[in-house]
Amino acid sequence: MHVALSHLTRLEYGAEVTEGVMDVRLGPLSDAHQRWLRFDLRAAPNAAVHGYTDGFLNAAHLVSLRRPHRYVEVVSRGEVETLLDDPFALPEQAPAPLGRAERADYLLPSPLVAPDGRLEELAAPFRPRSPEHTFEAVQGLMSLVYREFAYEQEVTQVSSTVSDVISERRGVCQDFAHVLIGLCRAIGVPARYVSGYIVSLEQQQSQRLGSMQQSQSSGPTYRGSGASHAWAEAFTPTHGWRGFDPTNNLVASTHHVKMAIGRDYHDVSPTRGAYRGNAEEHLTVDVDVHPA
Amino acid sequence: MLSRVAEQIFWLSRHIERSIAVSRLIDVTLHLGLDAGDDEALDLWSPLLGSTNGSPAESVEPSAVRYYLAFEPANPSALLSCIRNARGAAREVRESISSEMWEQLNTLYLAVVEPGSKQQAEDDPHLFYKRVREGAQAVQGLADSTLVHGEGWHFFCLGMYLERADNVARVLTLESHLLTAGSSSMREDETVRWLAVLRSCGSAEAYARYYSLRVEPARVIEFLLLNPLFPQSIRYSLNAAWLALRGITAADEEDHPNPAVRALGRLRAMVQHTAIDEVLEGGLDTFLSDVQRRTWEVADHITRIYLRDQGLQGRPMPAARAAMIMAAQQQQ
Repeated sequence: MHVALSHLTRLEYGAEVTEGVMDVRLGPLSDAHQRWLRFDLRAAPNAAVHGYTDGFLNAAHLVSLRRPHRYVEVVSRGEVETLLDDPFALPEQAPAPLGRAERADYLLPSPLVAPDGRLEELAAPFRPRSPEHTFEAVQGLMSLVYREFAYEQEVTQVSSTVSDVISERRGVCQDFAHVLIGLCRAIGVPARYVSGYIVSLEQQQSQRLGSMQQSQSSGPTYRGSGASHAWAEAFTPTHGWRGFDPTNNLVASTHHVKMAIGRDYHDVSPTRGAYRGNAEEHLTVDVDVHPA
Repeated sequence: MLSRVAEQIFWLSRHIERSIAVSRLIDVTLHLGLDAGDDEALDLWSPLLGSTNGSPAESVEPSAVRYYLAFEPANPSALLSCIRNARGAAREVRESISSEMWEQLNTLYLAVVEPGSKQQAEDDPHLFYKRVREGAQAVQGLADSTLVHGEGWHFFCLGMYLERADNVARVLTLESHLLTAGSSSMREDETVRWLAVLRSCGSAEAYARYYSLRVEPARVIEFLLLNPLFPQSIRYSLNAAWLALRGITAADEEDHPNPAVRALGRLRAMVQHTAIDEVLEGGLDTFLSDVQRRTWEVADHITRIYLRDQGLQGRPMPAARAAMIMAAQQQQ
């Protein structure tokens, strides 16, 4: 499937600020399951953009604005082709086992996914009988998160940890991804955080036909399609890395577009940064994803 | 100007000035040793360990003292440390200084870190320390002639002159015991010692022009402490530092000077309005340690106010200074 997307991040300040530096992880990430046809990143006003590759091999950009400014705007646009039509099918070649470094990265606790006894309690019944059953086990954990946690915005924050979410039993996709990662790690399955987008067919309709004919839309609407989305990837001995989206109870396929991977949100936040100044700050994010 | 840049320039300049002072001190003491001849009892070197920051265990072997002053990695005021730090600072602000300055400083650094340099320093010390001193002076000269005389330049001057005032005070403290030992009848070798004091501040010729060749301790002290026109004197240095600081402070601060301006202004006024007799009466040591302590205070205020962006007590932090974390977007 071809997916066109644009992602706007805008920070507005009540007064002039200086020395803004923003670390951006908006892609492009190309692997066996997706291929970028074009990608373009622009930053205003008149910012210096420096591209680099981070420790997880994500494409990242450093946007710096030294001079006084009242807003920062970063827009990424692109078109990507997603290739994983059937995530359940076994790959032609058996996946190579993970190296020691990767196992350490994705099995050990990370800043937002700290060890919690309740994770082990929840995950214990799903422990696979043999390595071949890992895929089913992760699917079971994903459904568990989908069932047991309520999707509700404005309850959690960007910095909420897995323990906060387990206590609250509510949250958004970022929180569910963290819980699923914690559950997988609790039963010895390497798991990582994926920051990306989900393509809703609803948007396909509205984009093509305009808002007047929205009622005719027939495809499913996924949660998380208005902002950037997040889910978890688990490494199974049979399938290799596969995405599991606990927010929609869905194994990631062609509807999921990846931006970056990391141990948790902390590693891959789409934008983060610092500036000098004493001003009120207002953040706007606008994501538009639709089949091209 | 970014406070980070200002801080690097300030310290680049201080380290360069300190390396000049250290290389002079070693060179002059070497010559003093030659003049003194075979007098074994005369220990010229171990007192120097108290003159630069920090002192190691008792060590009287002259070459060990020279090594400590010039190359000891653990000594932050060693010649090598100063030049390395100055180069490190210059590299951080490479875009804010001139290429010529950078090249000169880098050449100086490479000459000092070269493996054979320690041997050179012992084989022909005069040539070695003279080259280092000239190399560092060239950096100062290039700063003067190739930097825009704006804020960055003012920070360079501020660092240089504060460091100089501090260094001259140190050298004078080192020799102040000569004055208290017995000043009425000066022995021949004491004349030599006071000449050496002048030389270690690069001031012998200027002094001779001022007072002819009669070397009297009180005159030497007056010259190095209170001369208004000679650029190696404490008074001149403090005055120049004050002018540099005034170049940095905003015009609207004229009526409400910040603690750095006030502290330096007071110190400058004290030195300016003191006569040499009063200094000697009250005790040279007391006066010098007062000057040194207050110079450190000034540097401390400057660091807090200009180089580290720390707000003043009781005053709101200027809007443009506080570092803030940008809002991050939650993934929903």
